[in-house]
Amino acid sequence: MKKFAMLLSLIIVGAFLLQVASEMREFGEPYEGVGPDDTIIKQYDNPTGDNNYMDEYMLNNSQEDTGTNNVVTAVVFDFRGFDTLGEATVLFTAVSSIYLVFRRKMDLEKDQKGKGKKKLGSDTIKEMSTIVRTSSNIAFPFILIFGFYIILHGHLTPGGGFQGGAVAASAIALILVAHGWDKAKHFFSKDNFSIGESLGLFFFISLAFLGIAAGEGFFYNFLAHDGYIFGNSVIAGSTGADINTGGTVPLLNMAVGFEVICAFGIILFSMLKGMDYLKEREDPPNTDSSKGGEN
Amino acid sequence: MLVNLPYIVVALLIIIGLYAVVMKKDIIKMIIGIQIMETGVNLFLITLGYRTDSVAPIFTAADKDAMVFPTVQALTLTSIVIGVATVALMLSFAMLLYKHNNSLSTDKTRRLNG
Repeated sequence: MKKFAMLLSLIIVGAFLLQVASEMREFGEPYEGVGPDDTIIKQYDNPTGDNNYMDEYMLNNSQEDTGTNNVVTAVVFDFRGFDTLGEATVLFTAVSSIYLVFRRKMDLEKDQKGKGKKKLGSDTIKEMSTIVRTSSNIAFPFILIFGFYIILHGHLTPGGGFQGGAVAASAIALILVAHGWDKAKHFFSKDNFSIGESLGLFFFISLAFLGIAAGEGFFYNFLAHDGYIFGNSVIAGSTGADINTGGTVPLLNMAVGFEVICAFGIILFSMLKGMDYLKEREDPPNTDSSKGGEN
Repeated sequence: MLVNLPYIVVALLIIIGLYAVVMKKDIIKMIIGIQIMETGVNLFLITLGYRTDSVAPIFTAADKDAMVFPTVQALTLTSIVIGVATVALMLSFAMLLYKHNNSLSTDKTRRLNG
């Protein structure tokens, strides 16, 4: 009966969604503003020249305001920098929770076992064959360089800190899978990743506060068009790629990219360690939980 | 009707995700349903900003003719990153639930006194 009610409500909600979807405005023709006498104003043939619409303003002024060729990166790190601050904080909080959850449980278990010298993680991820290890050694620097390229050129080409950080973190996953847990522990440590993640977020917020120190506002792009660090001016319209542009946007990209690499490293190491923790189920950590399972 | 095909695909994705969240008992399947719903939302945002015969909003060697709207793409980027972080957290909690209850079914996890 309950299942039937759920299915019925699902069908009603789905019918409403489909009906709304079929009555949306046509695909490929977003709202573009209505002029004084009901004339449709398209982007770039705005007769009055004032920028009334948000996306239109960003497309027309991102090069003058931020010196950034990639408008999406300009929106993420400059026009809507507060949004990205919240995003980076959500990532930091979620990853910190993962770190905390597994660390506390496993430390408790180790204390109860007394001399528990057994290392978690080394059973789950074993070393793979020579062919896999050699090819992963060859691929590792290229993947890392490609990730750093995406981070560094975020203001010129598609990419940015989040995407490049994910690519570079996949190199860490490759080393971990190919060489096994014990050897990967020599190169990477979860605690160092935690420190690096905090440092990335710290640099991000510090750069935002430097905008106030420069006499403007929070997240103000104080380096754009001043001729020094990332300070070259760009010509409006289609240009070539000049990496020395963008003001604070490339620096924010680097901070976020560093944070994302370390965050993904923490996720990888914590959850793989937790997999080994799941295997030892003959000895529950505390008696309350096992009693709760019985009830 | 056929012009609105992307919106209909969005609606179908959200319905499939809702079905998995509401009807399934397995926690991993529910997490997959949440991810499918999030994919639908991302597709909806991208669809809203698309204009016919326009290029990506990047000025590096592009013709300044017509560009798709950049704000929705930035919002989608935010959504993807938050989705990755939250799904990792959800899977961690699923692992802990499996450790304590020896099962991933929602029937067995009614009492969370552990």
